[in-house]
Amino acid sequence: MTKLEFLSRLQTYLTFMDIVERNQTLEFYAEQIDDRIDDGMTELQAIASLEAPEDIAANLQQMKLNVDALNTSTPPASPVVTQGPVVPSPVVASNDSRVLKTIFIVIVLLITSPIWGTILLTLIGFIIAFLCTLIGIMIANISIILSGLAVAISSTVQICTQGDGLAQLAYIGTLLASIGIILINIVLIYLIARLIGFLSRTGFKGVRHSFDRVRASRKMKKMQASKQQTAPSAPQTHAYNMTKPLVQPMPQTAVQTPVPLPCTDAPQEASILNKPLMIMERNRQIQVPHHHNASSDGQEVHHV
Amino acid sequence: MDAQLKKGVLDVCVLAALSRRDSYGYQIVKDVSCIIDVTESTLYPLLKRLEGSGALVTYSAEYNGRLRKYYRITPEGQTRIAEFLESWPQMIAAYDFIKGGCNHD
Repeated sequence: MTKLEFLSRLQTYLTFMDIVERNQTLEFYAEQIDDRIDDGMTELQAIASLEAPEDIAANLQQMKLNVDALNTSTPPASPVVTQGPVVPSPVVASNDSRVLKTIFIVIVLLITSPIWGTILLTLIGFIIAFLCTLIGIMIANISIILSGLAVAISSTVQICTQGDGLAQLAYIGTLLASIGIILINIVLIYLIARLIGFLSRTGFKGVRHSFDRVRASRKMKKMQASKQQTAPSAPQTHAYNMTKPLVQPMPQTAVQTPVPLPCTDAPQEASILNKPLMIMERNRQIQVPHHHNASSDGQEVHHV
Repeated sequence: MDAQLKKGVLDVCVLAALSRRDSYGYQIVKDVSCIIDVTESTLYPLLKRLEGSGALVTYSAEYNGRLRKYYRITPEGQTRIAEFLESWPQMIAAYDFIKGGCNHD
């Protein structure tokens, strides 16, 4: 890739910037390449030592998002240079996003209410109709029992008053039949009452259970969120690149790792992990020797 | 290193590099990357931010037949370095506390 190719590719990825900002960025990178060439690299080496255009764009966009998020939460200390189109930031305060989410859900529910509303009403109608049917059957049973009782009473009266033995026998038959019908209907009423009780209990339990489930999942989410906040961040290849931007305008091509730059003084083999310690120890010796003496009673990291 | 911590330290490291001499992008990357791993895509927004907050100013100077952008630290930038260095005892106290011991008693 030549310098021109590099810059034109970078330009295509910097769509999230306004024209002024984009030109400044391109100028900056053009200068970086020129400086490397002046430092003795070839054009190809210079470009290979930089990140890939898409990675640069992703990093710059992420940085911009972070700055935007900072500016929305706290008033900026100084006028910000230029603000591009406001991109929804992944780092917005979680409270705001929760409120937004709720509002969104309510709006969606309102819009789709003709669909789920009719379904819900139909279901409720079904349940009411079913219950009404059961109650109707029960009322019918009760009336059958009452008429059975009437038949039983009248047939007993007939048995007592009739002189005819054959007729008496017939009335004994109707009395027994009516007693049988009464017993059957009592059993039926008992069964239906149990059915209604069972249905209402399971229905109530189901509703309560689903509420419990919602509550439990919310609790889980909260716990996970707090865990993520406290969990150590994974090692990062790019500085500050905490999360990849949500909007990825660029295709993911092979990631170029920048060639390590020649160091001016410190030993190259010192690992990145040791580096923060090195500054700490250096500054510490110079800045606060008294503190060091005061606390040099054991659990100290010794100087490199 | 933690991204937030790195961000805070990197700002001061860049200012410190400039407090030795006026510098340009590539030189700053070379100077600072000896201490903390830094790329241009990190440095560029950082420089813009520092310029916006008045910690540094820029000017162009001719070099090898082209214009090169130089960065110069301002008194405000110097103040930021001083503030960082002054806050160091507190940082060490925090470091010791995190390591598991309080030296105040």
